[in-house]
Amino acid sequence: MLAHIAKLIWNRKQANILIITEVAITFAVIFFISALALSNYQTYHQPLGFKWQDTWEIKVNTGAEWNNDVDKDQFSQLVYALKKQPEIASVGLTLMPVFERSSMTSSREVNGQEIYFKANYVDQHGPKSWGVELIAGRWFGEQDNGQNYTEVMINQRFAQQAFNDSNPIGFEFGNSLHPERKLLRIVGVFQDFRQMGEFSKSMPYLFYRYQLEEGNSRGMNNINITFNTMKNASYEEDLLKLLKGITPNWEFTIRTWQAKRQAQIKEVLIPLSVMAIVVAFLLIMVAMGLFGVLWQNISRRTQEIGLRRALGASKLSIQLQIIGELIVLALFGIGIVSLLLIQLPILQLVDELTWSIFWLSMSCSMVIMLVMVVLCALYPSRTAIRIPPAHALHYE
Amino acid sequence: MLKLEEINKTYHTDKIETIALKDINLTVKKGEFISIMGPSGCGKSTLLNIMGLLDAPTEGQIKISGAVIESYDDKNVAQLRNQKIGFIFQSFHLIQDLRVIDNVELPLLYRKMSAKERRRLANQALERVGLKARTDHFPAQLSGGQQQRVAIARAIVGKPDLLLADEPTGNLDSHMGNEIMQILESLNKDDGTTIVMVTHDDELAQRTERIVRVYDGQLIH
Amino acid sequence: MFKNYLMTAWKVLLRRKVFSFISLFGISITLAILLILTTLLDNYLYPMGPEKNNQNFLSINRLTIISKDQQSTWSSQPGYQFLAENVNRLKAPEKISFFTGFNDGASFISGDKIINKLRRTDATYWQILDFDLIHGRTYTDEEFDAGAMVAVISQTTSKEFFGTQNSINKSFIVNNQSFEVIGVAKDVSFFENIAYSDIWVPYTTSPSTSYKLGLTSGWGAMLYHSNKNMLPEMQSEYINLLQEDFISPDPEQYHTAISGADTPIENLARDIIGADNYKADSTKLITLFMLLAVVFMLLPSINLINLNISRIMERSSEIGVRKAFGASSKQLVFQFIIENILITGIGGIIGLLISWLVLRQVESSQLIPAVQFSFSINTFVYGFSMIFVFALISGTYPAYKMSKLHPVDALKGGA
Repeated sequence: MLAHIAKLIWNRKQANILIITEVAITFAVIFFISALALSNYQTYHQPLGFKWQDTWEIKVNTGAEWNNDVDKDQFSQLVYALKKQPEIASVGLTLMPVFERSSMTSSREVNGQEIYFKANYVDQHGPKSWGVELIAGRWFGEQDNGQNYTEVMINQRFAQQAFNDSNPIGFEFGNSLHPERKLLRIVGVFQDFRQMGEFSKSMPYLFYRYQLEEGNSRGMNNINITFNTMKNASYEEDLLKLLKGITPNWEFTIRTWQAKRQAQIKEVLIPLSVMAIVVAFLLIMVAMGLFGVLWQNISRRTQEIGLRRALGASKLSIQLQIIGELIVLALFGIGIVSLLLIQLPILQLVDELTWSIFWLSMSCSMVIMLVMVVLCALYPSRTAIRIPPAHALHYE
Repeated sequence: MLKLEEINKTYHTDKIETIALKDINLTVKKGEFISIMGPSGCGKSTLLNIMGLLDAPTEGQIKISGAVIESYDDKNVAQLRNQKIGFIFQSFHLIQDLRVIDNVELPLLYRKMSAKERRRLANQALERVGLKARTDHFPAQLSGGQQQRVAIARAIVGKPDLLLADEPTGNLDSHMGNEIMQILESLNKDDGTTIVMVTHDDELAQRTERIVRVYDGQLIH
Repeated sequence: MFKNYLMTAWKVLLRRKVFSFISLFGISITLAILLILTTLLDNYLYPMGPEKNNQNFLSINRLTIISKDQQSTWSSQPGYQFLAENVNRLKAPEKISFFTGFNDGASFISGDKIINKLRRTDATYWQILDFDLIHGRTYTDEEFDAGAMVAVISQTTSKEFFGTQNSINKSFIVNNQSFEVIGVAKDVSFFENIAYSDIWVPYTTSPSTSYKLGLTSGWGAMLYHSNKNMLPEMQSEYINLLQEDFISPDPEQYHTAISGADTPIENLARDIIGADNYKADSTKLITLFMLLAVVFMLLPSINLINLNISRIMERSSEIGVRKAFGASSKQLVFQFIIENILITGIGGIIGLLISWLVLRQVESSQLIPAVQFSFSINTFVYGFSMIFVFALISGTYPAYKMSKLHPVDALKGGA
């Protein structure tokens, strides 16, 4: 039967080539959108590494570039003032804000491996109060003050890439471009800190320590506070007055992590859903197109169908043949595109497209495509078997 | 009127060469009513197609009104078909999406003519076949005989010199077939139209002036 | 003759309802999507609001600075210091305006927090841009120089602060600073990214003067000339200035400055393709857009070609008859293309309606702040040229196939 169908298709290759092309392009489109959705879904469900509930961010805008001599003192005054507030449970600092797209990227040779990582400056209290989980070693602490190393913490992915199974705690590494600088010493490993939010890929991540007393040349600009009891906007107004009272020449923007997170999710989901809607319409269009072509072909092939019936083919086998033909055609198209698409993970052209996502979206698009094709063929194949054989043979 | 000289026609498929017509010489005089007979697949339809310039012969030449058809260039033969020849087919070949009157007007569309003039001629032709009352129907609403009469009206609306009919009664019962035959006879006698008709029906063939028999691509005299 | 083709086409359309519907659906959805995208682009390039005279000015809103050892690169908006010490020295522009980007401005009204967009500008800003003022006036050079605490606010913001009453001469507090309203402007679309904001105040009212020390980030500039033919000269003067005579606070660290004075399309090209050039590559952007449009039309086109071809097969008897009765191939091709243009035309009009509905929906949903889409003549020109291209792509191949159909085969019912 299959060979028979293949022969039929081959003999009609000229008419079929366009249908195959259409199926192929459609399949590619479904593949891309499902790969995109799947990889986003997958990253979304990986652990974020911190809790976003009930934390407020105070963004400090100093109006000009950070001047460490002057600004670090003003900044510590702000932090001390906040810590004194009875309502405030914790005050933590980050240089790179959470749920935003800005990040600091570097690369270093660590334990013989070139590691690309994202980095951030945090103070010793911050990560603990945001629910970052310590896996090994310890948090930053006063014991790190005035040592001959620069203390850093890394996430699990960093540890895995650089050290595999061996213990990273206490390992020291430097910057080959600046050998005069103090070596970095790993004092702790945390689970993760996906600072750029749930839709960002988990990358090797590194915390530098920001010390209020010393500051650093890069400055500091995000104060994150948590509360003993939940606060509302009127408290925000008081808070702004307090901050402005200390540093009248700086500007402050206060937002909750929750609001930032929601805005970011919206930012990802809106384009994705617009794309999905467009693709859905494309699919409906293609489905109707295939349906139309098939229907047309059936009415042209009444004679062939009548003949098959007269030769003893059952209704079911006719129906199966028509559906089968379209499925074989579709598989042709899918096969050609798959050969092209498989190059993507093989050559690792797109980082996000891992093998698991590739196979998942491949099978996902295959199912969608085949279901669509079968649906398209169902009605025309019914029409075909309703033609009585005698009538079909008389046609023309 | 129409002269075929040493016509040969062969068909080529990938490997096989089929000879459809061989050394055909045939003259149709003005005002004649000829029938072509022969078993299925003998080449009589091919012969008719060549006469109607729907198909080009492999060898040989055709003269219409004394002029040799030299070029089978699309535009040239299209114009000749339009001006000189009218067709009637076994399966009517009416355009289902057009009304009767629009179907009849069709050949005139490819001439320079005002819409009013077209309408007048089409009505005239329909009157000639006795279907004046059906102008606004769609083909599907008519019986087989009526459809073939519409087809005849379409074939004569352009006042062609030659009417080619390919088994015009083949899809009709004998009563309707007789009706069609009567119209063709009247066109021949009263209007002087030259008609070449392919048929299976011996009885109908006997009613024409001359019978040409084809066997295996050759004429039998 | 033409009219006759059109009539035939119309009749065929009505008689083949399923097919017409399938074709129309595909055409109208495709064109609606393309039209929505071009309308967005058109509204960006030819705004109807304050930036409607954007043919007369250039904007500077990207700056890349490279250190002497090429180790460090800063890429962001220009800073005030850069503008004041470099852009200010340009001779070609008639007017130069500096302004900040729009930032969040927090206000508290009876315990609720309200976020408005706040932009700080000079007074020239109002002379270049063509704002639609509903009440009051904009600030003058004198007020700007004196650092007067005055503000122009948008209609919506006025309503937020003061309800329906007249807000002129009333005061409000934003980011802990109190301003007096002197003017109320019509809301500005987000697409006009130089004009867009809710509150505009003189930048001399900034809480500190530290902004004067920023080389990068936070600011933008406009270069204006009343004669639009002067724009290229302004562009080359600016590039020349940066290449030959860039004044840097620290020539070791901040050695090379790369930036361009852009027209709206170049601006977009800089955002999408990359910012590290003196001249933004707008040709590349346009090519990119064209390519995307073609790729997007590919699937619907193949779909339509498929449908059209199978319809030709269905209508082979008709084609045979027409040929037998004297239609030349050329005439048949012409007829078929007319049919296709008719159906794409109808689909196009439906597509236009759909895109209109969707855009109205986007407007009312406030997905893009204060946006007001207008269908200009441009949109129609784009729309109809797209319809034409679409009809041509999807009609030509089937028509060609049809003309090759041999009349004898056609009459037998297909090839």
